[in-house]
Amino acid sequence: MRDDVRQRLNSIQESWIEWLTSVQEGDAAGAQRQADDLVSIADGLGLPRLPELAVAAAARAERFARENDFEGAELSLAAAELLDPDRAETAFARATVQEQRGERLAAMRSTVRGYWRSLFDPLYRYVLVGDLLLWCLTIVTLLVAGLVSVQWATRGVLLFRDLVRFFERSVPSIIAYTLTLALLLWPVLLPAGLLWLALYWSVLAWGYGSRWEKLAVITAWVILGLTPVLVSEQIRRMNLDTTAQVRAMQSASQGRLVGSLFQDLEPLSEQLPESVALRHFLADLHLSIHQWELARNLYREVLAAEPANAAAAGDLGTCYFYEGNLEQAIVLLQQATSLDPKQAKAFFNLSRALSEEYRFDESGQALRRSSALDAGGVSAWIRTADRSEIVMVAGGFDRQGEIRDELARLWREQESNSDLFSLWRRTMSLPLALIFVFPAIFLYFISTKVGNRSRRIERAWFAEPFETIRRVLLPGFVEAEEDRWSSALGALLVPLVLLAIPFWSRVTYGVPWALVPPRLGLGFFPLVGLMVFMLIRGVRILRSSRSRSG
Amino acid sequence: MMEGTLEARALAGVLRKLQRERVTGILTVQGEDEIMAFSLLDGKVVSADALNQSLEDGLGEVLVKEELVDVEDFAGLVAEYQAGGGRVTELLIERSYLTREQLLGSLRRLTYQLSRQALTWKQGEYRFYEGDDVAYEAGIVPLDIDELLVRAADDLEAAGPFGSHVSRPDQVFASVLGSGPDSPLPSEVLEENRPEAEAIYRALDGRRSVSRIAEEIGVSIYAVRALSAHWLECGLIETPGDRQIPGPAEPSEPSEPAATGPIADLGLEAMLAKPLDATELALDLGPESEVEFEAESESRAPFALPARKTGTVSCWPPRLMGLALFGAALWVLGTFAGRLLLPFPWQGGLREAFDSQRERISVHKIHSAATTFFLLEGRYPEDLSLLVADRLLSPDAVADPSGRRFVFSVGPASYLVQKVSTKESVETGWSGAIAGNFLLDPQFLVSEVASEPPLVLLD
Repeated sequence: MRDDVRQRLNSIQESWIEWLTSVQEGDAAGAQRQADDLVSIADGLGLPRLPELAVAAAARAERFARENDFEGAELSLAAAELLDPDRAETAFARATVQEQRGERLAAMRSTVRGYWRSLFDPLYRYVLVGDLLLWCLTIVTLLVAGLVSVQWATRGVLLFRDLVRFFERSVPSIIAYTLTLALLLWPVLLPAGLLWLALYWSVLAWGYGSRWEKLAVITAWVILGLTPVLVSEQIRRMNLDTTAQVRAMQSASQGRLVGSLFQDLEPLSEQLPESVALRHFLADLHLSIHQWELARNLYREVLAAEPANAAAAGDLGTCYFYEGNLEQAIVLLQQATSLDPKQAKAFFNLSRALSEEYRFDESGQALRRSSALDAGGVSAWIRTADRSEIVMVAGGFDRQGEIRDELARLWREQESNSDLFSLWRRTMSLPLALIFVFPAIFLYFISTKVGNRSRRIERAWFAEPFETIRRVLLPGFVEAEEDRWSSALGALLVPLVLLAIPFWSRVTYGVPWALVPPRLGLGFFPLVGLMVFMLIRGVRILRSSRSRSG
Repeated sequence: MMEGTLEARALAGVLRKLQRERVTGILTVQGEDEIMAFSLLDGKVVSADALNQSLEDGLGEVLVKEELVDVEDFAGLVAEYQAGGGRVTELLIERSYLTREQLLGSLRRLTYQLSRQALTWKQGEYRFYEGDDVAYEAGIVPLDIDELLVRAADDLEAAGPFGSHVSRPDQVFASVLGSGPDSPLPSEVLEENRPEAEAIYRALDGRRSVSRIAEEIGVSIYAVRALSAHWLECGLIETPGDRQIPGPAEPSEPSEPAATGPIADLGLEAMLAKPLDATELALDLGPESEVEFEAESESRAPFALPARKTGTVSCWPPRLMGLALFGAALWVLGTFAGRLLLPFPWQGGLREAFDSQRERISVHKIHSAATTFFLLEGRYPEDLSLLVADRLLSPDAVADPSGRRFVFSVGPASYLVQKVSTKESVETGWSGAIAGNFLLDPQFLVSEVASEPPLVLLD
């Protein structure tokens, strides 16, 4: 690392300490100045965002708020927003400050804004989506269990009757009941017995259901079979996306300068020594922090492997431009424009290089080509860069997906080399689930031959008023008894979703926010939701029974 | 094909037979001055047409009577239809006179009115053509024969299908053979070919009203009223005041209507001559939560006696099992929520990978919180509780997914996170340090500069 780069990085640390001192002393102007300095240094290094310092400033704001120093809190929040704009943690910290001030509604708004901002951070978004998938799969699994329970409490009556009657042909009633119960309950003795029991019952009762029910149960088996495969794939992806290397790549490509950036990227070169994409990425990184020589060598390696890589050629030209080798810069930039005639940045850079060489006619032509390709971009580049600066194409930063795939491939190869059996074990649940169809169909045919023809189910469990209470308290069961299976699933789903909310943190990974999000005070929501659901259900059931008796 | 005269078999009887057999086809009835055709689908009436009255006339009459359409408007629509402007039913909806539901309701009422008219005919011929399918307005609710007969009986009273044998919702009936699980079942009941017929017959115990029986058994009131009216007509049941319960040894003479009725025809004496085994006939239905079953018996009773062995099986074991399974699923959610998605025994490796990934994210949170703490304080915290107090770490992040807590030990420029097992032995560790981090390491500049070769000044 070049000394001047190192010194710039070190000056970030110094400016941060000065900012901390200023903000502690309540020196608003000083704090603002230090924050601007920090952004300016980072900008000079080509990575203008400082996420860790933004989080620390947000955390400082929370501390100030707890000490009732709201001026200090606002100063810190302003710095946090400046150091890494639109960060989720800054919104969370603002919510905490507002809550401390007693502004509950504003705090809720800020918290929601924090969650919204999380969707724009690749890591947070990925974990959040993964968490949502896990939670939904949990609910679906519960729904499947609910479906089997409901089917058993309704259609199971018919199966039970058939079995008892079958045994009663040869033994007394009491023994027939005992044998039937033993035949139905034995899977509970197996390891993971409840699961096997539910699957066994779903197979036994399958033939007794309507066409709709049969389809729903097959779907449930497929979902159960697919769940481990989905979870397994998600673990693999999560493993990769949460590694320090991938996170460092994401940070760099988003212009975020994290303290351990260079440390975190180091292992990549060892893991993917042959990767051209990685070389291109690192070349872009060194170019953005103005380490021309390192960047130049890497771009050369990229061009040796990919001679038609216009982005690498353009950025190699950029290196030469900054090193003062204008002749070579112009050659490479011309090569880039001929390789990709639609690359506005390359034409813009070429115009700058030609201008530096006093070849104004050619420079004007290149600038016109650049404007024709991206007029908005050109005016923005002219506005932000001074005459001695040109813009990076940064094609290597766009290749982080490629690097990620190479890493994934490497991991998969290592895995398949070491443990093919574990791969089979991970995926065997799906064929196993589909195998259930065969005994189910076999039993269905048996039941149609020897079972009772009547498929009528007794609906009333108790005498009134207990029957009405049962109808209210057992969502799904009543609808299934009336053969309204879509309503039954809906009636099961609502309470299951509400019941699963408190278990969110126990079935998910948890988004690694650097500050704890404030609670929205909605812990009572599932309970209230359940009560409202039961109330609505009760009213509807009472109304329908009144209208029926009327 | 079934055919005959209305003198030999009333239309109500014909319809009931078609209902029992759940047939699909067209029934034509030629009355005194009209011919009608009824389309039946699975033993239910789905449409009715009269030869001397077009659909437009009949429907128009119903719609005008119900004040859904003005006479003039409807006449205009019919004119448009006759000019080739489409079907009247479609025009009614297209012109927004009716919703589809209203149209279907009106067509159903028209079907009922025509059927009711035919039920008053005493003379004529009928002919039934069985088929696989019949034409009817899609979406119409079929008119159940029970409903048709009961409503016609209410409307027509003595001229209706049951004559004077009307069954009202508040009426109480009792079986002439006695109710309860031990009493014999007449062939009329068995011939109904409907599972609820037996239940209804058993429930006619002289105490419960018709409406209550319908509610308790969970069947339509029309079914109970139609069956009870029919059985009343056949002399199988009576109002409790008239009751004469026949004993097995000395069967009483059937009441007057039955003397020439079906019971006599089927041999009630013979039926009652052989006392039946109470256990074989046991049937108990309704809220007592037992269901009837039927199975081939080794010995058949003579004549029309139940040719099956009957018994009861409680509904409660499977119901309780279903509820228990549901409860168990909720218990698993509360106790082993993290295991719910990977429950199979062979998924141990996957579960470990899942837990390990969650653990890694927890450690990442600790690392991130410790870095923030260092940026604010210039040192690492002594304990994770400081991070929790500062809201840099959530309280549940100080333990791994299986509840084993993390222990944080700190050095001058580094820290170590260790997982402690239940036996307080350290299992795994992750470390972090300021070295190499340009935001934290005060020696970042110095260390690299020192590693470079010293500058030697030459004179």
